[in-house]
This record gives sequence, structure tokens and C-alpha cells, in this order.
Amino acid sequence: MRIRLLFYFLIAYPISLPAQKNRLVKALIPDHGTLQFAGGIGFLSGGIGYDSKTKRIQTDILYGYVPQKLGGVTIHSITGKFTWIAVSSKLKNNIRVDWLSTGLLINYVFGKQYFFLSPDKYPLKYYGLPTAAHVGIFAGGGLRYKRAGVYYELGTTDRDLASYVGNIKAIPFFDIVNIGVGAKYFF
Amino acid sequence: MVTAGLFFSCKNIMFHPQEVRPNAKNLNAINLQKLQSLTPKTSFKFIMTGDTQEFYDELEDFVAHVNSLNDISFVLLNGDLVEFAWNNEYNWVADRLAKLKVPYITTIGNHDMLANGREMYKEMFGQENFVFNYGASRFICLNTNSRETAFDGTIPDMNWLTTQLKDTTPQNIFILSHVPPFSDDFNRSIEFDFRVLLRSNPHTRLSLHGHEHKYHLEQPYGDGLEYLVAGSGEQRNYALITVDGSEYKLEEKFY
Repeated sequence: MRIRLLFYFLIAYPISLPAQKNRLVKALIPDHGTLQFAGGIGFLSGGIGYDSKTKRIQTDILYGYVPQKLGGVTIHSITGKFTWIAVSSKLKNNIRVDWLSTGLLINYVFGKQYFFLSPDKYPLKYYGLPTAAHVGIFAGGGLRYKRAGVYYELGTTDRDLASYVGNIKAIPFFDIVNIGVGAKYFF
Repeated sequence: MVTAGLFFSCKNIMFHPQEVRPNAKNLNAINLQKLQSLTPKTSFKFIMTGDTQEFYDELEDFVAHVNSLNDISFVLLNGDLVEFAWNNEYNWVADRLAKLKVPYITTIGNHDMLANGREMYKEMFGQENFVFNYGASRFICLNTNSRETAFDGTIPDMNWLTTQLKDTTPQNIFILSHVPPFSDDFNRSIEFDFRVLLRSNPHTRLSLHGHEHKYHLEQPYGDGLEYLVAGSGEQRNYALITVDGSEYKLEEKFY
């Protein structure tokens, strides 16, 4: 009920105002669509995002899926992602090279076996971190041609990083790195 | 790109941290087969430790240390092999344990059950409740992490344990489980029944546990049965147990 009211006042009602209609609808239309393979957020993840004017800052909301056949268990998750294109240059023929991008993501996984807030069965601070969420950081690069773009990312997670830092001798850095590749289409 | 190819492999494709993609399967069964193929000694030594969790540096040192000893029959890892029960962690632990020269058997700890941990444990190691024999000694291994299922009565499986303890043919019976019955993480409503059950078999010698990250030996119920809590990664310690006939000797060791 509360969500429905919120939707009405934040989205439905403003859109219904004819004077503001065009501007608002335009603002709500995403700037790009994304499809990603791996990267710790799903076998395949798809979603939409908004960009800064120059596209140097790109955000995504992605739904990620892992089929049981590939992941042992079926996984449904949602990711909020923030990417900053740090180094980019325009070549001829509408080609742009994103030499270096970096960013951060937060992933939430759905399912009864995970918790975000500590369940009642545990005393206070029994387990330090929620099992339903993880934070990822990544760096990569990409190529853009007209409205289409492809990218790759080398990432790690909060917990993998902690394992690495706590075990400098035993865990090689490359063991905590995961690869993601994806494509974007800019509307 | 060629250099990158040398460093990266399929291992670097992670669909999601919570995936269940074990790099080894049925490890308890494989190790038990290894153990059964050896000629058991009447006097033997085994190691019990646990709570290796995120202590991979320590785990590697432990494996190297055990490999340097030449009179150990087998190693028992008594739960909490991992911290968050992520796929990566299980695989990292299995990679390191694979270097042990002697057979090793694991039990499931509360951390191992988080998220998809039970699924992962089942695939990588096997059943949560099982028994094995070494010579005239029997080891009863079971899940006692009652809190993980909110004390719903399923953990520990008392019916299963009752059946196992009916058999008085083994000369010695050792109980192996992660959470000791005197812990707040054990189902306290069956604590009495549990300890009486352990004592019901005259050949039960010792109950071995982890979880508390503190080495201590006691007789909490004054019924003659000793409970040993031992070993954790950050303490770099383990229990060395020597069995001779129906006698046993305990030592705390460090690596």
C-alpha cells in the first residue's frame, strides 16, 4: 500500500501533469541498456542505466541470473553499479576507446537461505556480515562505436579482498580477481 | 594479452559468490577409502583441529607441519572450514587440504552452513552425519550446529545417534562434532538427553569438539566422559591424540 502511494506521488502523479509531461518522461527514460556476462553478479545480467552528459559517469541497475546447471544452485540477484570512465579518447570513424574505467557495485541476492539483517535465531553481532549482499570493486576498459559499446572488467569483492589481505602468503592476487564482460546500447 | 592468459583461467569466472561449483567432490568418501586401504595399528596417533575459517596462511603451515610428522594416521578437521561459506572459500580450503599426505576427514561447522553452505558441503565432502572405523575404534561424526536451524529439533539428529550408539562391538567410540553440547549454540533442551546418550554406550571414550577457539579438556557433567575442545587457525594449535588399546592420551600442540 505504502509503495503504491509512493509510486503515485513520485511517478504517476507528476507524469499526469501535462505541463511537465515531456520533461519528466524524458528524464525517466534510461540512457542505456546493459547486458553483462559473469563479474560476480550473475551468469548473465541485464538492465538499464543513466549516464552523465559526457558519459564519463555511468550507472546501472542490473538483474542477474545464474541457472542451476551452471551455478550449482539457481541464483537471482540485483545489482546497483557505478562506473567512472577515467581515461578515454576519441579516435576517427566514431570510435571511442575507454582506456581505463573503474567503479563499485552492490549486489543483493534473493532467497530464504540468505540474510541481510541478522535473523532472530542469532544473538547480536553473531556473524559480522550479511550473507545476502556483497560489495564489488572493479577496473577495466572498453570500446564504443556510435550507439554501441563493449567493455571488460576485472573485479573483486569485499570478502575476497579481506581474505587476500589476511593471507598475503597463501592467497595469490589473481585468485581473488573475477572477470566480467558486457555490452551497452546508448539510446 | 598472452601474459594475462597465463594468469587468468576458468577459476576467474565467478558467476556469483554464492554459486556452488566445488573443485573437488566426495572428499570424505575418498579419504575414508584411503584410510581403509591402510593397515590399522593397535596403537595410533591422530590429529584433531578445526575452525580454520579464513586462516589460509595458517592452514598452509598446518598442512606442511603435519606432512613433516611421520607417525600420524589421519587428521580430523572439526568444522568451520570456511567463514562465509562462499564457493571460493570452500575451493581454497580443499586445494590446501589436498596437499596432506595422510587421509583427512571433516565435519560440518556452523559457518559451513551459511547461505548455500550445506549444499556445498554435501557436494564437496558428503553426509553431515556419518561413521567410520579405524582398527577397533569407531568415530561417530555428526552435525551439532543447532542454532543454524533455529533449534528446530533436527540438529543434532538424535534418532540417528541413538542407532549408532547401540552398537557396542567397537573397542573405542569417539564422538566428533563442531559445537559442544555445553555451548549456547547447541540445542539446550536436549543437552541432558544428548550427554546421557553418549554415556549409554560403555565404549564411548571421548567427545571431540571445536567452535570455541580455545583448547580445554573437561568433564562438564561429572559422568566420567571427557569433552575436548581444541584447535583453531589463528591459535595455530591442534590436539594430538594417541590411542593405545582402550587408553588415550591428549596433547595440545602448536605449529
